[in-house]
Amino acid sequence: MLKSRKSLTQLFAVSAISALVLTGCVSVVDEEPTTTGSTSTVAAEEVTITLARFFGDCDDTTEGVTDVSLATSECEVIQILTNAFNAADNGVTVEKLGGQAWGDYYTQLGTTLSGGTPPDVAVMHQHRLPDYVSRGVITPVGDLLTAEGVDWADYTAPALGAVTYEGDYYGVPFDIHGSLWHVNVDIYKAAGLIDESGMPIMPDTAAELISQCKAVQSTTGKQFFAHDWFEFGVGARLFLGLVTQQGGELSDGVSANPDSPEGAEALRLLNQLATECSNPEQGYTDSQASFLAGDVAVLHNGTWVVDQYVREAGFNYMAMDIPSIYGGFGSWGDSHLWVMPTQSDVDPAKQAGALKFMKFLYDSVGDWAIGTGHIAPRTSILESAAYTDAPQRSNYAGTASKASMVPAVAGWAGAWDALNEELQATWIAGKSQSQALADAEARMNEQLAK
Amino acid sequence: MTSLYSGRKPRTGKVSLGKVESRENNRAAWGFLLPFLLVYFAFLIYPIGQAVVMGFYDLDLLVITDRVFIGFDNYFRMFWGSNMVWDLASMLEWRIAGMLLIVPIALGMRSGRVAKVEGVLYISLLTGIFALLMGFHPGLDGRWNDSQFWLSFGNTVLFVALSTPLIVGFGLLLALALHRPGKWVGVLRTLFFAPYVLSVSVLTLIWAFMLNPQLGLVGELFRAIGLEPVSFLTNPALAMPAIVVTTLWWTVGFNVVLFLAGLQDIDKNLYEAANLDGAGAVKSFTNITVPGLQRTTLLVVVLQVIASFQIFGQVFIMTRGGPNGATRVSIQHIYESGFRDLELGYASAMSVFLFLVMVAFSAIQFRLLRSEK
Amino acid sequence: MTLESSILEAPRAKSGFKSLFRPRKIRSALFLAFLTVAALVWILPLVWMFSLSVSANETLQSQTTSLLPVDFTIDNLLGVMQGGLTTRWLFNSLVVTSLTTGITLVLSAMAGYAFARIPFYGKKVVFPLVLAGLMVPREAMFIPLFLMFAEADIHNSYEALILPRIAAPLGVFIMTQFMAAIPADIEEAARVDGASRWVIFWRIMMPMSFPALTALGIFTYILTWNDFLWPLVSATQRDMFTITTGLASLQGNFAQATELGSLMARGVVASLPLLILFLIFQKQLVRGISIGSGGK
Repeated sequence: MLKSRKSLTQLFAVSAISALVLTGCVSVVDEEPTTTGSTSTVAAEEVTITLARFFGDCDDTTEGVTDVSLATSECEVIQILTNAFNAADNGVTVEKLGGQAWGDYYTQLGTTLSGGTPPDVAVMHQHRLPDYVSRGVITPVGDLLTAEGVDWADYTAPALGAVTYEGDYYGVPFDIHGSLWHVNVDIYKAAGLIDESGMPIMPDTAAELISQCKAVQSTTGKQFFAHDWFEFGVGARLFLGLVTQQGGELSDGVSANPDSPEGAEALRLLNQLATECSNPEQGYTDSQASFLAGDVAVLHNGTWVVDQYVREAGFNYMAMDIPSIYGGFGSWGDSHLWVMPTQSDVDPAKQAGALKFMKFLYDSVGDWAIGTGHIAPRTSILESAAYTDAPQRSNYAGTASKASMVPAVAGWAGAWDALNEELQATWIAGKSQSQALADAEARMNEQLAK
Repeated sequence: MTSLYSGRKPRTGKVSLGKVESRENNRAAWGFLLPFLLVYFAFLIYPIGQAVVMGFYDLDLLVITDRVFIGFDNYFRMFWGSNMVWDLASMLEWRIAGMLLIVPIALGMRSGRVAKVEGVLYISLLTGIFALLMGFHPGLDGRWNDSQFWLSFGNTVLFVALSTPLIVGFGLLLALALHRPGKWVGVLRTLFFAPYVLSVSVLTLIWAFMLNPQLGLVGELFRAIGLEPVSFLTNPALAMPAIVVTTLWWTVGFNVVLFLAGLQDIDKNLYEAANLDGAGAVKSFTNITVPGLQRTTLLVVVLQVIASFQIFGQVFIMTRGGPNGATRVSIQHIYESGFRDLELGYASAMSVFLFLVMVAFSAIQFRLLRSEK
Repeated sequence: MTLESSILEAPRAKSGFKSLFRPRKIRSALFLAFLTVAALVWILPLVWMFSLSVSANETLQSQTTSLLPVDFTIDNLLGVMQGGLTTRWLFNSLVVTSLTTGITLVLSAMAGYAFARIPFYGKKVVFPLVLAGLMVPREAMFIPLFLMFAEADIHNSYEALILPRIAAPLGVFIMTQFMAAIPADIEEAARVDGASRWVIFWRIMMPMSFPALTALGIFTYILTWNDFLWPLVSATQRDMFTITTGLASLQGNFAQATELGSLMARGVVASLPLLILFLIFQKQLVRGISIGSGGK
């Protein structure tokens, strides 16, 4: 027994020594430290900035690749774009920090901001921006980027609204991603819901929607509607869209009021869809699986899967705007933006580098939109041939200009989670709709007040 | 017997046999403790202390230099609400259930296992909590200040109550079954322990899929026997039990290992002696195994309760606290308050509360489960 | 002598052909068979995980209920292993986890010995203080800890990953309980002979605590290996990731809907070293210690 303890001790000693040696090696080989500006004084041109983003990590498939047309996923598009920027002779090198799984990104970002060492450029969702801007940790970039050549007027209204806060611009919108209806045209055809040009007929009223549902289900036996009823809060997105279509709003920028006539009607319709036209036990993965297997007429999902469905749907597939069944246009939209966190010690060289990279991202929104299915936020791109030629894009151009972005109010992340949970309770747990809306309003305001 | 030292003369005179606190003992003890205590104070006590202090401030995660001292306001906010009233009938079933705990304590007092003073203390504590404090709730126009606080705490207590007996009991059974020589038993031990090596993200991925009525193995099983698959994670009544089962599958190995190690320390000769005396298996178990495992059982139960109070990962990933808040637990609420709502001070205060509850539970367990010399 | 054999031991015909049909042997075999079946059912989710890890991602988007692989492929596993930094991440995990475990074992055993065996002034205060450390939610103290390391500017290093973890109240608690259970006679005999506490600790207590040390070592290894939140915020440079955070970083949005096979493959790669470790060391958990029956 003493012998085996000895060998264990030896093993630990060996690992300890090798660890120390290697730590030494590693710190020599590592990139330059990024928190102080002293690295930029020697080689006046070459500066390294840090970038934090989600979208995953795909360095393995994109090592050395700079041709963005080869990308097959969100991660690859942004990584290849970054590679291209680094390869170009612009004096700036972008070092990517982490590649967090989506859910953990804000924990990490919040922690680095708390610790005073934020990255130079970071990605963010539009619904989170007010939390950070209202606390003064994001640098306004309106004038700074105009100096770099960014034309803010080229942005669509929803996109620009996403980065506007108290009159100043706080980031570079990269896309608009929103709700879409993914349609199985073959099923629509079998149910006789095609017009002369072969396009699926979209309903104009809620009653028409339900009668379409009955028609499809009785003639083809397929499930009419599917979406994620409980995993990622997709139900709340449709709720937002429906409320907006009726001319209502979930929040006036100060407080929330889902408990309104529009909210009640939207929730009523959602529940009717759940019980009569859909399967409320389906989450994200299974609803998508059913759709791709050809068992569902309409899948409510987002812009990020368009290219994937084009590749994988074994039927006649079309991506369309959410139908306007209450007169107005309304469809949930969010946006990915690039922001510049405020550094405690501003290094002018790094800031210049960060701005250069953000201008590059502004230039690349077309590549991003074409590579991922997200909607381009700039009018010039939307009208360009490259974009309109990309599959399906013209079918959901409406969302591009009229998406109903989430309200820009601090605390929205928590309010949205509360709304989600209350709405879901109606179709999963049988909670009374009026009670759910009342509770949702109370809880949302509780969150917004924080 | 080989010498344990080299050539030193035996001590003459008074030998400190380790029964008395003496200067020599003190020095030796602190010598052994110091390395651990140094790291402990630096990396545990100091941050905890800071967290406790943060609980008295209105502190934002992103701008921690901007803090306002607010005393006990965070605690007041957690516990209380507006328009609070008291009545007897509110949450009656839970309060009666809680009061029933007085029975075993009274019995313990009668049998002498529980000291009179202690017993009175426990009974007054139970009465104070269940009969009195739980009667408070917001009136008609009132609301809790934090609608999720007591909800998540209640779910946490429920989880602790469900999971502890199951995971401890099952762990003991498995350990007894696996406490045998043989090479195949080693493989069996590994099989039962294997789930513990998974990280929480892989665990939840597997189980969320397995429990999915459309895409999962469990759903297939239902269909195979002609039943409509049940969606566990979207059913408010079944979601928590599903989480308990997932946790049991994942962590029972921990208890098995501790019990196995504990069974080692029971003197084998006792079993032989009992066997020669003609004692059966059950008698062996109650008279030798159970007392022999007392220290280990205390260890396992305390650790299990503490671990169950701190459950977070499985719930957060599998159900996000749903459906309808049925599985939201305290740590999730703390995490969301701190990292999503950016209220670091408030989150710290809630952590302190949870901590104090665990301390109280553990203290009581130590008293009730302590080994008789 | 195990409980099982003590149940079944009884005077029987002792030798010859008949011994093959001893009820004890049959009962024992049946029991083992039952246990094996139970273990196989227990392991079903893991079998499924392995099977998914060698199934094609695309097929898995619609077909996930089979226990056997669909569209068998080793691309998922290869993809993980061939990842440019996967070996680096595995190495990081190995170094950090091994060092953490080794140091934790020593520190916890020493502290456990003091608590279990040495009466000293202040024990009644310090022991509860150490236990209390178990009850602090990690998420609560994690920001102050982060800030502390940020100020010392030692994030993105092995030290930052190891130091917070070696102060393990769990370890001290386990070692205290087990060391307290060791009968005192051998130790007392050694003390009478004049052996110092340190010698007693290394030569008697440690060897006799082997099961406890093994248990604690296994736990610490697994918990450190699978630790996610701290390495996530402390080691943000890609080459400092542990295998756990590194593999998590490969995940895109909605990964379980599009690349389930790869996700499971990553899980397999991350867990396999731990499983092998357990398989090797689990025997130590049940090694008999001959207490009271003479020397070693």
